[in-house]
Amino acid sequence: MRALLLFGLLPLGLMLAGCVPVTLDNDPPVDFKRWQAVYVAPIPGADADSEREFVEGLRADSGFKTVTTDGGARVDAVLYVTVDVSESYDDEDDEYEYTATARVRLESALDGRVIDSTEVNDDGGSRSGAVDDALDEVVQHYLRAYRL
Amino acid sequence: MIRDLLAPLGLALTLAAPAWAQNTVDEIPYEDASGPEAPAADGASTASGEPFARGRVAAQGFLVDGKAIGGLVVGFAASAFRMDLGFNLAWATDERSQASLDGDGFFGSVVDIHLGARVELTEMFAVEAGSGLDLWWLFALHSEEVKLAMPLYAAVEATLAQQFFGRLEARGYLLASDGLMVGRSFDGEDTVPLFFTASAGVWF
Repeated sequence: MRALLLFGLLPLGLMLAGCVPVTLDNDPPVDFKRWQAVYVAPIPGADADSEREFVEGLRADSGFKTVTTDGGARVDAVLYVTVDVSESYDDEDDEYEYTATARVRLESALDGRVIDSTEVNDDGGSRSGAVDDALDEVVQHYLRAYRL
Repeated sequence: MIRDLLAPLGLALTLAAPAWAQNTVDEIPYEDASGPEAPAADGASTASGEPFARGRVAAQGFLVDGKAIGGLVVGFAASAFRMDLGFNLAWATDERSQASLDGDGFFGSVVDIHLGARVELTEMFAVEAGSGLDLWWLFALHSEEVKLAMPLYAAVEATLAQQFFGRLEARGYLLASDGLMVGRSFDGEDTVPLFFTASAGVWF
């Protein structure tokens, strides 16, 4: 009887489960159907490696169909990012901490109007690490639309 | 002297302990009954109160539509309280979700950290309610794509042979990040905002 009750819980749960969905989605800050191709302008404050990694991240995860660093390419939008890094000394841990702030502006390639703007920041144990993390947050900001 | 002082405390804890805790007292081995961990005078408890704390491990599945989510839960129970840490991997099984994902539908993990209060109804059955934090980490989409939720859950649990247990839990979210919708279908239709999890495991 006890075993019956115990293992009766599982089928009961399965019966109840079939009708309960959990849906995950995101609401992108821009319409990626309208703004499909983007040119990424050189990023003041980021070195070549960070910039390349950022562009690769946009290509892999963002909703933009085409991401280019070719200034002559035909695009729908231009992405301007600037990165500033502040440095502070942590007395307790006896080490420097870095905070990178990325200021982002997406403009129409046609008329220059601002489509989207935001500011993100992230910390790191090194200057380049903080910059990479901040730029990664920019990639997340432009994450492709999904619905699961 | 200290043992004499703690003996009444052990008795009090024994009386306050749930049935399952009391039933396991005799199973706890003592290499040296005369040592510092020896049973208290009433024979029901150690001076340190060990019998009232147990760990457990279980396999868990989320019983939700359109997804396969399952993993491992490690828990700890002390008297009327319980804390669980679950780590689950998650796949989308609805074909329409595949458009958002690469490959086999894998999208990340669900980490749940729960703290609850238990009431032992009988030696075998217990109910529990609690809250905590659910972290839906969608790392297959992006390494920093995380949705957080504060759940409220109620569970019924059955224990067999003082060691094996099965559990069914209903869970709803009091607070959740934008885009984490319990009870909403892929098509946007709303149903009851509760989902169930089932788990089975062992106390140790």
